[in-house]
Amino acid sequence: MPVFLLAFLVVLLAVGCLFVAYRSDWRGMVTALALFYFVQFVIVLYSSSPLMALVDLALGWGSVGIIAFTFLNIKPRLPEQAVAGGVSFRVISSFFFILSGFALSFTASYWITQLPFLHLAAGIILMLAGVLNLNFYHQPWQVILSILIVLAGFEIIEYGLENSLLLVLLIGLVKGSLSLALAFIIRREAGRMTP
Amino acid sequence: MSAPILWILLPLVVSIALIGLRNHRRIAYFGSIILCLVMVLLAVTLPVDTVIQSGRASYKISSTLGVLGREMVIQSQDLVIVALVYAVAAFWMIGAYTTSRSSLFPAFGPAIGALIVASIAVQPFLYAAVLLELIAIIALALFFELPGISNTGVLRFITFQTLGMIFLLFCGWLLSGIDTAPSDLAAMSRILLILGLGFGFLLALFPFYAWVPMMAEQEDTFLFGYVVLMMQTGILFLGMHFLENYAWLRNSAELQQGLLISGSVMVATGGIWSAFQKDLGRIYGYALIMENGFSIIAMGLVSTGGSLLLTGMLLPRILAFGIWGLSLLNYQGRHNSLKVDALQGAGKSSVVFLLGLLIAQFSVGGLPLLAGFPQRLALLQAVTVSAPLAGWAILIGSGGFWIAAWMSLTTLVRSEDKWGKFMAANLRASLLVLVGVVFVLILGLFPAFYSNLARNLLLPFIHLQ
Repeated sequence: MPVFLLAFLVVLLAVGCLFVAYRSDWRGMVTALALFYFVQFVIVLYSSSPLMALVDLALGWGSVGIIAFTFLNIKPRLPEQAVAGGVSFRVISSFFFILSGFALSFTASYWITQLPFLHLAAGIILMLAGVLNLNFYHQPWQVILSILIVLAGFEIIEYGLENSLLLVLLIGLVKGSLSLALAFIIRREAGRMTP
Repeated sequence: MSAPILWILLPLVVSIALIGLRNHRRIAYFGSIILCLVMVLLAVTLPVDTVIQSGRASYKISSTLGVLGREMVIQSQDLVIVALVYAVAAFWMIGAYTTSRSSLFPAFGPAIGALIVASIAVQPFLYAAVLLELIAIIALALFFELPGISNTGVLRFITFQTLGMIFLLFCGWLLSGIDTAPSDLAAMSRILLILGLGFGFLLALFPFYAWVPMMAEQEDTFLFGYVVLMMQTGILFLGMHFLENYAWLRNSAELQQGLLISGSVMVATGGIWSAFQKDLGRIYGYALIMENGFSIIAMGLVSTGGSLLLTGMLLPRILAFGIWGLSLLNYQGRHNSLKVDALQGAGKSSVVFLLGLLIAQFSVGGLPLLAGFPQRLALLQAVTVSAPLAGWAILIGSGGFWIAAWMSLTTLVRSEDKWGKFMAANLRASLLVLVGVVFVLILGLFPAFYSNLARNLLLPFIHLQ
C-alpha cells in the first residue's frame, strides 16, 4: 500500500476521532463511524483480500444503516449526555489520545513486524478514541457506538494479521447484533419517554 | 446430519422462531423448555460418529461441520458438557416461567445455551471469544427489555466483554507465531500479559469486576445469574482449551502464580465486601465474584489436579445460584426492592423462599453437609500444600460471606409478624426451589453422586485429567 495513501487515511481517521469528540450527537457519531468503515475498507483491501474488504464494508455500513434508520424513525429525541466536561475538554483529550496512539504504535511496531507503522497507528488510534469515548459518554447509544469504534480499530489490525473470512463474518455478526440491540434499546427508551 | 447442526443450529433457529411468539408467554416458555429437554435427551442417548441401525435404515451423526475453511466439532466426549448446558437452560426456563417478567427469555435462553455449545465446538477454539461476545449482546437486549433502576452495569458488562474478546483474539495471533516451547522470554511475557487482560475482562477478575454487583443490584437477579453462570462456564472451558493446547502455558509457573493471586484476591474481596452490602442483590453479585475466584484458584492448581476441582464445583454452583436467584426474584417481585430496609421480615411470609435463599447462601459459603462443602474442603486442602496464602484468603473470604449470609437471615426474619405458610402463593416457583434445596442437600450428603459427572466433563481435555 502506498505510504502517502496510508498516511492520508491515518490523518482522516484522526480528524474523524476529533469530530466524534466535538459532535456528541448521533448524527456526528454515526457519520464518523461510516467514515471509519470506509477507511477500514481501503486498508483491508490493500493488506488482505478484496473479498474480505468488501464483506467487511457491507457488514459495517449495514450496521450503520440500521442505527441511522432507527434514529431517524423515533420520537422524541433521546438525551445526549457527556459526563466529563465540555467540548474543548473532549477535543483536547482526543488530541492527546491520538498522539498517544502514535507513540504506542511506535512501540508495537517492534513486535508486530508484519504490519507497517502507519497501519498499526490507524488501528490503535481508533481503538484509543473508542475507549476515550466510553469514558466520556454514558447514554446506552453513545456507549454502543463507542464500542463499535473500538471494534473498527481492532479490525484494522486483526485483518492485517489474520486472513480469515469466517472471522470477518463473525465480527460482522457482532457488529450487526450490536446495532440491532442498539435499535431495540433506542426504541424501548423512546417508548418509555413518550407520555 | 451432523452434531453441530443438531445441537447448535437447530436450537438457534427455534430460538429465532420463538422471538415471534414473545406475546404468547405460555407457548414460548413451553416451546423453549421442551427444546432444551429434547437437546438433553438427545445428548444423553445419541452417539456421535457411530452408525445407528433402525430397521433397514441406518443413520450416522457426524461430529464435524465445515464452515468457511474452519470447523465446528462436537465429539462424543463433548456430549456431557452439551447435556449439562441444556439441562441448566431447562432449569432456568422453568424458573423464569414461574416468576420472571421477561418475554424475550424463552427465545434468548436456549440461544445462549446453543452459543455456549458453539463456543466449545468451534475450531480454532479462539473464535469462541467472538461467540461469547454474541451472548453478551443477547444479554444486553434481554436486560434492556425490563425497566430497571439504571442499566449502567450492563453497559459496563458489554464494554468489558468486548475488550476481553479483542485481547483474546489478538493473543491467538501471538500464540500462532510461537513454537510449542518458546524460548523468547519477552514474547512469553507479552502473551501472558495479553492473555491475562483478556480473561481478566471476560471473567471479571480483580480489578475488572465492578459490573457484577452493579448488574446484580439493577437487573432481574434470576436472569442475571443465568447469563453470568453460562458465560463463566463457557469462558472457563475456553481457558481449559488454552491450557490443553499449549503445554508451556500449562506448565508456566508465572501463570499458575498469577491465577492463584488473582483468585485469592477475588475470594477475599468478594467475601469481605459482601458483608458490608445493604442490598441482597449485591450480595448475590459478590458471591458470584467469590465463586469465580474459587474457579481461578482451581485453575491455578491445574498441574496438581485442580481441573477436577474446577469441574466439580460447576454443578453445586449452578444449583445454588439457581435457587438463590429464584428466591430473590420472588422477593423482588413482591417488595419491588432487594434493599435490606425493604425486606425486614419478608422471609416469614414465604418460608420456602427463605429456606432456598439460606441453603443456597450457606452452600456457596461452604457449610458442611451442603453441596458446596466437599469441593471447598478439597480446594482448601490442595491450596494449603502449594499456596498457604491462598488458603488464608479462602478462609477470610468465606468468613466475610458467612457474615453476609447471617445478615440476610436476620433481615428476612426480623419482624413481629407471625410465620406464614411454608409454601408461597407462587406454588410452581416454591416447588422448584424445594426441588433445588433437596438436590443441594443430596449433593452435600453424597458427593460421590456427581464425581463421575465432574470427571466426564474433563474428557475433552486429555492433558488436564
